[in-house]
Amino acid sequence: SNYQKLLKSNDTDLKFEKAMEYYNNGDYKRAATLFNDVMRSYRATERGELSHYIYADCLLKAREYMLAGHYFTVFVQSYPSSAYAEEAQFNAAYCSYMLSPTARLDQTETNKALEGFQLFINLYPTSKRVKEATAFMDELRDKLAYKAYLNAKMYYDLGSYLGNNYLSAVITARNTLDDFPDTKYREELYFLILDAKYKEAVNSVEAKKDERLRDTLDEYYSFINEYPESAYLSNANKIFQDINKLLKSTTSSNQ
Amino acid sequence: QENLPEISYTAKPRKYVVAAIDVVGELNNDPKILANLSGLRVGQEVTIPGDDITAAIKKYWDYGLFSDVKIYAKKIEGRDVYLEIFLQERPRLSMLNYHGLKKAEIEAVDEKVAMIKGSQVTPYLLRRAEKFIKDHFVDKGFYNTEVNIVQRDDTSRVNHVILDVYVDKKEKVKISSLVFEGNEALTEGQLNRYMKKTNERRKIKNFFRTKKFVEENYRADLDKIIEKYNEKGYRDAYIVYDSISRNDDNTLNIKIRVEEGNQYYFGNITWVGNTIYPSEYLSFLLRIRKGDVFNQTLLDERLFTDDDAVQNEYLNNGYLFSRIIPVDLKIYNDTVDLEMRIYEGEQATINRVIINGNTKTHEHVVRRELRVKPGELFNKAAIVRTVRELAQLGHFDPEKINPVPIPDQDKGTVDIEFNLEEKPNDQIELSGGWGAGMFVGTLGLSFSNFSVRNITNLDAWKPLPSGDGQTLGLRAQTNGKYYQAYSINFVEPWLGGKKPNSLSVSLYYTLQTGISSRYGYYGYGYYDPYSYKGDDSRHIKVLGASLGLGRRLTWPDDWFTLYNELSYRQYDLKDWSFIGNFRNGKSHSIYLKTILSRNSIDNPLYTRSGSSFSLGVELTPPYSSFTGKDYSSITDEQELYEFIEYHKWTFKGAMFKPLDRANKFVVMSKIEGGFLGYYNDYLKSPFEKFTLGGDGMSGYSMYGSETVGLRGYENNSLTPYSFYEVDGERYSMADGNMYTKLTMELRYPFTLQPSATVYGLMFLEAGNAWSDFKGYNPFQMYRSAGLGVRIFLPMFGLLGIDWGYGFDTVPGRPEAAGSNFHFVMGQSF
Repeated sequence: SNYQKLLKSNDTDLKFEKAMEYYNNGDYKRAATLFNDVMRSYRATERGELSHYIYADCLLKAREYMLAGHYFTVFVQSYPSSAYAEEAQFNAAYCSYMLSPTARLDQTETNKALEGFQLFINLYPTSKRVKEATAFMDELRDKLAYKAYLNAKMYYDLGSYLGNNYLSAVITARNTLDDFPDTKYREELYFLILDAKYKEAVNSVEAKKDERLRDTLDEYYSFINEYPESAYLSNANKIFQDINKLLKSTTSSNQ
Repeated sequence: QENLPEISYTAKPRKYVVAAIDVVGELNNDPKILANLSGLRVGQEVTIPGDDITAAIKKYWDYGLFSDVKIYAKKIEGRDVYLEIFLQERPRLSMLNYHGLKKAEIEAVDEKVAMIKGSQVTPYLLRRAEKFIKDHFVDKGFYNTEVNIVQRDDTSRVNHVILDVYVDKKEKVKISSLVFEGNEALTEGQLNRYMKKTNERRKIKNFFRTKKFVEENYRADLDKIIEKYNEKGYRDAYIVYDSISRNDDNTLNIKIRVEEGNQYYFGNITWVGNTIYPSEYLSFLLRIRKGDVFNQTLLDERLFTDDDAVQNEYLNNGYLFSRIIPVDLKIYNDTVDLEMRIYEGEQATINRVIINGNTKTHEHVVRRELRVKPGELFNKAAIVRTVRELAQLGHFDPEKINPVPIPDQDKGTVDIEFNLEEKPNDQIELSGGWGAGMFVGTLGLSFSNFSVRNITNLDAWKPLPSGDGQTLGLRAQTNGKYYQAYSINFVEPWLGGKKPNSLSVSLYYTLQTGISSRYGYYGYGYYDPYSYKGDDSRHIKVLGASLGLGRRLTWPDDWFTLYNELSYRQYDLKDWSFIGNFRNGKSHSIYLKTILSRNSIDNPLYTRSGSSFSLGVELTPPYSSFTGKDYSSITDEQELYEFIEYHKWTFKGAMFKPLDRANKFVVMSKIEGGFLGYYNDYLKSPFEKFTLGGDGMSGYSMYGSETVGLRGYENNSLTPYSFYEVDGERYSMADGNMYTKLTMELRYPFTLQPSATVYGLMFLEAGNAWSDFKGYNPFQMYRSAGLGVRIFLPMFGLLGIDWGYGFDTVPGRPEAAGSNFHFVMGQSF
């Protein structure tokens, strides 16, 4: 076919023009193969810059996010003052965003995307796409927060299996609140801390029980202070009543 | 260039504004881009003569892409200066040819040289290429390699060149003689052995060792000699000189002169700075006493690297920031007094536990296995055990599990990062063939990282929902009419997600008919009475289901697990003569199985250390004791065997120990045994018996018996037989009710890559099976020895072949012993 002939041809300019044609017609796979070919020949020329950018764009549109991200990143490094640099910077981050897996898996790409979007916002604070980038970043941060929430929840579920997992749950949830103070999972994390502290206190040895119960009580007050109409309110109140009952019995037995 | 304005270099420099920049010359590149490279801009103020122009020229040179650079003022109008830049570009590479190398060598070299077509050829790149190629071959022992790069113009393209790389490797340089002088404490033979990669040629002892000379390895070997001297107390040992002389036949003579110095001994060892552990306790842990030969390596091992090293006492109790610095306090005569200066520091608490690299396995599947948790004190031993247990999971490459502590000394906390690398863990078994006049096919799929909850999530099917660490196995085997077997099993290791209680479910069905006259009359080592009758109206069908629950115990220690299983199995026989006097009818077997096991092996693929034990008991209800029937008088087989009853006991134990320091040679010793008992003398189970001998494949055979391997003998050949009569005719039946087996294996790994684990083994084995206690004699065993190899491939699991030689003659089966080959698939206990 013509395409096969083109691949074997040595006429770089012809290949470039045909590649542009494929690109404009939406045949990104073929265009990508051709651009990959001519890119090298055009190194350090004006067409080199253009073909590099369009090659990356073809890959993006063909959903080859891993490769596309790589070429967008290299593009930004090679041609920082190019007219396409802004778009390339955004797309590099966008590719990582698309590669970012569910919260239960390794989040390397999520972090890469966050760094990429941040860099984009720093470099092009007036860009039209800043709003979009910010929205993506919020989504990614929420994913990381959710991942941390799952971890904390798992420790909570493990309970006293091989040690005190309630403490691990509290620490993990606290770290998450520090890392992502405005996450949409804030309330869940907050309540998880209260609940884990309560469980830890109830399962404590007598010597530590009183102190931990009082500590949980403080946690309860700050929780209902921040979320007076929380969905977990009835659960929280139940914890509150239970603590009071336990505290009364421990103080009476101490007297 | 005739009427250029003159620049006076003696007059006072003047300031100009750049009005234009032109780039001229034979250019491959865009002039605009080239102009930008100068760093000069139109509109910029420059001093002429001055630094701005000099800097621009320097910049061009720094790029290394140009062989000539000139900048001159074309025109000066008032304060405006029109600059012209002349550039001579370096040629570009159009082709790179290697001469004198093989294809594989070219590939290896080309990767290192990394010169891309179209890139500019600079003197630096040429020198670099020459060096890379030379180093590559010197490393391989071609010490006299010559590299010559010839550059010629490519006539078809402007300013392009073709490079011809001529490589002459010459011959390998080998070592003709290696002589030591000045050595008294260590013999020449010992020193020779310590020099791992520098060895004389034409010596039997060096048959398997490299004889080529590689400078780098030679230097490392010299260091090794000094290290060995140090280990033996010769602290002052050094190499006075070493001389290398060349012979005409491309060989070398090496002479090494060492000065050994005196042998030193440990003197008093004192501890300073320890507040948590008393000095006596630390000295006890150190296990080095006054008067021992001074050995720096041993000292380092006992202080830092051994499992029970002194510092680990601190590191296992949170003292992550502790330091021990051994100081030579005083050296008198041949004695060294040491002072151990200890900085204990604060205890570090774990803050975050980070898991990286789980691109397929869900994080909670990993995290729930960790023995390192936020809020706990730092504990090195817990980290080591975690690494071992993550390796056991099988989802990650055991050789690459890498825990990294990230301490924050100010806060007194530490983050632990576990870096993992997923490895393929699913197995496919697909085989088909033509055998015994019929088609035989097997399809087996085993997914060990399945996710049931994602089964409805279409996005997760790539190719199957995975990540929750569940096991799903499917298997079908058939040869059409004669034999069919189907099974499905599922394991969830953490039922409910809160505790490691495993749930296993399995279902299976097998059907066998006694057909085909063409099926071999001496089949697989047993006599088949139907083979010549060609009757396919006879069959055995086995249908079963089981439900098991496993639990990790914390007592007696936390390596123990307890497994309970409830099973039902139905046998449906029609005119079947292999199961003793039970030939027709349906038989039900309901049993409860309990296995207590302890497993502390370090790596499931190539086990180096640890042990694994299991004790199992399988019980059916004792029907005969409450039916009130007199079983001695029942002759109807259906009535007799409607409900099978038995109790079965099994024991298996294996221990692994590394033999050498490199942890390569491993010895495995294993002992196992089993006993099948009955409740009623007249109601012995016709099923569940042991068959012994051969490869031990097919854990449960179709005859409802348990197969135990013994290499060096034919399959099933060691099973004892007993006789019974039906209608006056005498028949024999396999009747192995107890067995004992001992195995000793020496293993050596050839490669431990995740893509393939390969190891070789030598074994000694002994075992026997008996019909009853009266015949039992643990000293009367069938013995064998042999060797084999195991290959683990991620997609196919463990495959192996063994050759064994059975030493003892089997009564009535003289051909069963002697030389036998065995194929092994899948991992046995």
